[in-house]
Amino acid sequence: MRDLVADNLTVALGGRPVLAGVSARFRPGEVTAVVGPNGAGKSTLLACLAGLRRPDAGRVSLDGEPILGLAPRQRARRIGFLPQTPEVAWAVDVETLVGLGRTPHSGAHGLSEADHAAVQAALVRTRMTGLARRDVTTLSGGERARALLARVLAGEPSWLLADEPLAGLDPGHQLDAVDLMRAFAAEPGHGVVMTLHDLGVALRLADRVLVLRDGALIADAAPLEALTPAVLERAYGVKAAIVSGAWGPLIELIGRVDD
Amino acid sequence: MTRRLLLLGGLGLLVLLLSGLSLMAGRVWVPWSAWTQAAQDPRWAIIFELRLPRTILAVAVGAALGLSGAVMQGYTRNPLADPGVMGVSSMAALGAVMTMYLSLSLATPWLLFAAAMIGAVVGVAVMLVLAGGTGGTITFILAGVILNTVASAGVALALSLAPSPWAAQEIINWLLGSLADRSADDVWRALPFIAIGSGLMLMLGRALDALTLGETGARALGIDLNLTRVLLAVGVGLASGASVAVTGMIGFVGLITPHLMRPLVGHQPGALLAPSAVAGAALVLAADILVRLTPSVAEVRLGVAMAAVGGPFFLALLISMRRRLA
Amino acid sequence: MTGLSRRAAVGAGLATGLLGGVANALALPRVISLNPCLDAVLVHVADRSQVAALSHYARDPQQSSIAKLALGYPITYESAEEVIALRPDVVLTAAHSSPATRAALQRLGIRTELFKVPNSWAENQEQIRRIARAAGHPARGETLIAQVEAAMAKGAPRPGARPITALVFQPNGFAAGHGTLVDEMMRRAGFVNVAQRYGLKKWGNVPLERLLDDPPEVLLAGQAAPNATTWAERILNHPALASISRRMTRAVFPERLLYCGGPGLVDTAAALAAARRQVLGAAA
Repeated sequence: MRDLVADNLTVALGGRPVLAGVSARFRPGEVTAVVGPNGAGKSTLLACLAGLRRPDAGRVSLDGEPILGLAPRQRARRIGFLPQTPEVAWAVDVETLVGLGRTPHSGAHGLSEADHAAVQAALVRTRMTGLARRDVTTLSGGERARALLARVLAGEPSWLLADEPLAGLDPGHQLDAVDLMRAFAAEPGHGVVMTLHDLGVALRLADRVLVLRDGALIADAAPLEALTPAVLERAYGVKAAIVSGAWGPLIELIGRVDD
Repeated sequence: MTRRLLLLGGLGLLVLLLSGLSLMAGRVWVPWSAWTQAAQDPRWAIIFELRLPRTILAVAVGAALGLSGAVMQGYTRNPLADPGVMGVSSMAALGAVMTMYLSLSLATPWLLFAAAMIGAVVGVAVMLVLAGGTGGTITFILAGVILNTVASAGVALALSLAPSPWAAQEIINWLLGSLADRSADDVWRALPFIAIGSGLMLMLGRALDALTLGETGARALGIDLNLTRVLLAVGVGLASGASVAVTGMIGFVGLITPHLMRPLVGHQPGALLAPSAVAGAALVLAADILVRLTPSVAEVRLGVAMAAVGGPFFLALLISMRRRLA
Repeated sequence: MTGLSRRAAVGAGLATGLLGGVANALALPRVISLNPCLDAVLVHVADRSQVAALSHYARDPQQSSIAKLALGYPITYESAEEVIALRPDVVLTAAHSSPATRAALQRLGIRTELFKVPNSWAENQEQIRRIARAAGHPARGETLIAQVEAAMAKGAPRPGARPITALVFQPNGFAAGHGTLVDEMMRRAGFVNVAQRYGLKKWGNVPLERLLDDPPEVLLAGQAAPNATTWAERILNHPALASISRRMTRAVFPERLLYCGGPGLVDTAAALAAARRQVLGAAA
């Protein structure tokens, strides 16, 4: 099976439990959204899934093998990770930035033909070919997000794990990004797991939703089954209702629940 | 890619030209007859025993420092970093100062070099212990600060407790950095370490490029940051430690050489490595030639000449940067 | 050509150069000195034609006791290149000069004589004799030693005279303590060096405060240079020193006498004797 499996993940930071026995199975072909309040452990979960953090207990497997048993290069070829606050330290041009995504594949002698081809393909998919020569530090927020997404796509991974990829983006750019990720997940053997704050996006555009609260998984199902008013109340302490809008279900916030 | 090779070729040619100039420059004019009548004319010794080792050392030390600067800036993602940030140069200086303080190098001249290298190795070891494992760049920089502080305090202590004013003067003169009167012995001692250290540093291009995306980004791209840190510490430690051991503290090169190369090569840290090495060699050579030709009394300190050569370029760079940002 | 035979060739070249180049007697070696203290001795024990070069410090009146004399001698800036070009037989170097230069000269097979800082008259005598031997005039070395001893005897106090407390005080409050040549000269001139009162071991800076708190009878003070602008030199003229002028006499002791032995000791003895006379009046 090409699944990405989290098995009883437990992580404690400074004595405080961040993940408490979280288990989940992610299948190719799906876009999974991980939601929950701040401090629920979403980023930590994603980092464990990407093999960037060693859990205190439990393990993550990819295609049946433990992910931490893979050589870093091997792991990086199969999992593309988009961090939450992506920093770009130097004023390189977009094409160079996207080229960095080929690092797990390239040798010490720069990019090969195949690498260049992958870079171009990624630039086309994210519609950044016109901006390829631009200095990254001069891009707008939306353009920058697309460039970073292109970087991940250039690595031709099987799994795309993104931590808050839509944060700070205009609605239009948010839709673009989600479309890209859905298209990626639709390809055979590919899957997407992303953490989100926007419940509306999760509801409308994810195939599966995981809800975390205080490090524990309180829902793991299709969006409408996961984001019920009861779950929302437990996770966020808000009263909400799921209503049918003209273009799909919407979450309507009613008010706070006095805890 | 061809543009890079063209640049490297051009810089290499510059180094070659400056080397030729370096063999000719000095207070003593050595005519061509000295070259042909090597056995009879002792001035041949000036070229062969003094200027040739000096030229080779200038190239080696300049390359080591330029390369170390590019590596440190790439690793810390800070364009103001230089090899001294790691604290290894100060530790090497401390080792050398101790031998001068104890007047040990009078009888055994190689002792100063050995003590400086021991200082450098201790510095690298302490650095790796303090900042190894799960430590990030911040811990690395802090460890460097600690080493710098301790070493500077040690040097200051040695200066204040110096047994005589001449001993203190000797220490100060050495610390100010100079290539004067270095011989083939110095070349044989320093070159292996500089070569090994530079070799290790040149392997870091891929990791430094990946660090453009930050530490998490680099790790996500499959870079082993622990290995990177070790290679960096040992590489910079050996190369800049050996440089300090033979010439004293030469500042400025490591800091400005990458800046001088960025307009020509771009900002990608890995691409800056080889050009910074060659450009550093050219810079130190040019400064050393200037030192030997200035008509002043004593030999102008190499660091001063460095500022004179590199300063104007740096100033022009700053002005153009300001214009861009304005 | 291996390294060894190359150096032999250089040595041979230097030897041939000597035989071909020197107009005077072949027996007398060509000498170069790289240190102002050694310059002063060399000038007194060697023929003018023997001295291939002095150090450039020899012409500095603040540091050298032969400043005017040195104008008539060639100088170097103590670099190995200049030394080699002058083809000397022996080079006089001091302990804290550039190690690289010394190593370069040794590597080229040029004979170097190393001299440490003399901390007593006995040590200094040995050095003078060594320099005189290196220059091929051992007798002149003895003459110089005799001159210094005569000056010391002239400046010595009457037997049984009370020793006077004194302190050397140079720019920045720099002073000499026990175990230095200056200290011995002071003792021979009838002074007690009280540097250790202020915490000094061999060399160090005396804080002005401590000096004011517990002044010696005589301050052997340096002279600020005519255009003294450095902070270090201003301290010599600090107004606070005037406040204790009744308890402490101020005598002149030029800075250059502090650093070298050799012929400068004649001036040292004279300066100390003058200081003693100044303190005691005619009853010295």
